[in-house]
Amino acid sequence: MTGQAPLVELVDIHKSVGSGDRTVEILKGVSLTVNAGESIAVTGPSGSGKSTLMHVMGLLTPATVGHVRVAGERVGQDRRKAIGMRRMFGFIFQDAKLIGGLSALQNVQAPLMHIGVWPHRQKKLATQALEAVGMGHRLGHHPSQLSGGESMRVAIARALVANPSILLADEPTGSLDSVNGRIISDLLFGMVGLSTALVLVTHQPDLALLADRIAHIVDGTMVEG
Amino acid sequence: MGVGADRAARHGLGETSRMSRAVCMGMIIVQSMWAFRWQQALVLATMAIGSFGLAAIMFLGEGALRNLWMDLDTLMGSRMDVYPAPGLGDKLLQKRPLVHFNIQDLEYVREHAKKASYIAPMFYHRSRISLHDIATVAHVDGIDEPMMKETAYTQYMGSGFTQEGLAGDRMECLLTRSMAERLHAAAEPLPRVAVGAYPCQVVGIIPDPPGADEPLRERVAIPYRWARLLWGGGDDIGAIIVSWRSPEEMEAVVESVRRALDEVRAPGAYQLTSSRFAVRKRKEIVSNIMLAGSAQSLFSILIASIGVLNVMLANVTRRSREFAIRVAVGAEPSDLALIVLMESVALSLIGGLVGLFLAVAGAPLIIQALATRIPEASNITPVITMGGVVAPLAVCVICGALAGAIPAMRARRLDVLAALRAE
Repeated sequence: MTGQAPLVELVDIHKSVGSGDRTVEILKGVSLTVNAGESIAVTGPSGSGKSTLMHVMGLLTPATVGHVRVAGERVGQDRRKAIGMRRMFGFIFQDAKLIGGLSALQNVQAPLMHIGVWPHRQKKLATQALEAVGMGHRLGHHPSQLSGGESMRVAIARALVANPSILLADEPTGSLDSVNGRIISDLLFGMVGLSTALVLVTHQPDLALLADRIAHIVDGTMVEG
Repeated sequence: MGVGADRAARHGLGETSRMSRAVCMGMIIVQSMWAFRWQQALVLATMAIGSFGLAAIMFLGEGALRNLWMDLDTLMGSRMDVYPAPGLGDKLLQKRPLVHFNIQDLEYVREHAKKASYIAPMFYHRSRISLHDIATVAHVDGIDEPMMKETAYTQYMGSGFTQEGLAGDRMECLLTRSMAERLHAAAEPLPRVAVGAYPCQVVGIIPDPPGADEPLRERVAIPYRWARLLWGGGDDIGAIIVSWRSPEEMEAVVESVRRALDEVRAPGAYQLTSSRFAVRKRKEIVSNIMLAGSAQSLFSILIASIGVLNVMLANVTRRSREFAIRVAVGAEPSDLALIVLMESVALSLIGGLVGLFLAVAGAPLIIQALATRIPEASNITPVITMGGVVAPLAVCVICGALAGAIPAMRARRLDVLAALRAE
C-alpha cells in the first residue's frame, strides 16, 4: 500500500430486496477493499450474493445499510455523484450483454457517447479498444453475427474504452468453452495495471487462483478475503 | 456533465462539452431509431395518416375558399341592390308607407354613404320583347351610366349605348346572350327589337348573368333615363344600386347605407341584396366542411398518438435490457427518458413530414377523385399555406411529446438490476 486511498471500499454492506414478508437479505454485512492495480476474485456458490456485491460496488444499486467509498469519497444518496462515479467502473457481464441492434463498433462507442466524447474521437478510441482485444476485423458485425467468445471480447473492449479505474467482471468465462475462456481470462488479467483494478466474480477455482486475492462469499457473508 | 467532463479530460478521452453531449445524444437517438426501425414504422405510418388528412383538408379548404372569393367577384361584382319593401318597419313606425324609393331617398343615401364607389338608381321591369314573329316576356334592367363599367354589362358584340341613347333621345338596348339566341338577334348588323310597344335598336350583346337560373338569363338592359320615362312615376325610382371599391370597404358601405335608409324610410322598409350574405353563407359552408375534416384528422392524430404511446411503452419494455446496459456503461436515467421522449417526437415529426409530403403530392389526385362525384370540385386548386404546413407538423410534435412522456418516465424509473437479470 502506498498510503493512497483505496479505489473502492465497501463498509458493512447489507442489501435487501423485496418488501414486508417477502424481504430477502442478500448481503449481510460485507466489507471489502479494492486497491489500485490489484485483482480480486469473488467466489462462492450460486445465490450467495456475488453478483449483487458487484452491482453495489459498481453503484448500480445502493446498499440498504452500510456505505461505499470510491477513491476515498463516500457515495451517499447523491444520485448525480453516484452516476458520475459509476463511470469509473467498466462492467463485463456473463453473457456479454451487447446491444442487439448495434454493431460491435457502436456497442463499444456507447460508453463514450454517454460521456459526451466527440464522434470522431469516439470512433478512434472504440476502434483501438476493439483492436486491443483482437476484434479489429469485426467492427461492423452485429452481436447475432458474433460467437460467444467474440461477443465477450467486444464486451471487454466496451468496458475498457473509457479507461475505467476498476473492471467489474461477472463470470465472464462462465458460458465459454475452455479455449475462449482462456483467451478472455488472459485479456482481463492483462488489463490489470498500475491504475486499473479487476474484481472478478467467478465460481471457477482455476480462474480465481489467477487473482491477487480471493474473497469468498457464502450466504451473503464474506467468509474469506 | 461536470463529473463526466472532468473524467473524460482526465482519462484522455478528449474535451467534452454541452455541444458534444448534445451531438452524442442525437447519435444515440438516430442509432436507436434505426435499430428499431420496423417496430417504429407503425408509429410513423399512423402519424403520417393523421398529418396527411389535416394537411390535405387545409390545402383543399384554402383552395375552395379562394375559389369562393373569385366566384363571388364574378357572380356578385362589388355591388349591392337595395329594393323598397313594405316591411314591418313602416307599418309600425308609420314613417314612410311607400313601396317605391324616390329621388330624395337616393340623394339621402348618396349623402350618407360617402365611401361608396357609386350609388345609382335602377329600374327593373318585366316586358314583352319581340323580333319578327318571336316574342317572349323578359326582365328589363334600366341601368344608369356608372353601372355600364360593370363586367355584367360589358358587351362582347356591338358598340354599347351611344350618348344619344344614354340621354334617352334614342331607343337602344343590350341583350344577354340567351336573349339574343332566343330572338336570333346575335348577328351583325344587330337588329331592332320591340320592348313592349317601342322599337329599340340592339347596340350590344352582353354575357348572361353568371349563376342565374335559366329563365333569368334572358334579359334586356336599357338606359336608365328611358326606363324612367317608361315606368317611373314622378320622383319614383325602382331600386338603388350601391357599389364599393374593395371588399374591405364593403362592410362600412353596407352599414352606412343601412343607417341612412333606416333614417329616411324605416327599419325593414327595404331589402338589401348584398354579396355579403352570400359570402357569409358560402364561407360558413366551406368553413364547416374544413372544420369537420380537420376534426376528423385531429381525431385520427389523437388515435395515432395512442398508438405512439402504446408502441413507445412496448419499446421501453422490450428495450429495458438495452437501457439497463446503457446505465451500466454510463448513461444517466435522464438520458434514457430523453432518448424515449426525443424518439417519440422525432418519429411523430417524421410521420408528420411524410404525411405533409403525401398531402402536397396527393391533393390533385383527391380533387380528381372528388370530381368524379362532384364536378365542381375540379375547379379547386390546392393552396399550400404556411398554416397548412405548420399546423399538422405542430400537432404531430405535440402529440408525439405527450405520447412519449409516460414511456419516458417509465424509462427513467427503470429497475436496472431487474432489467439486467431478465432475458
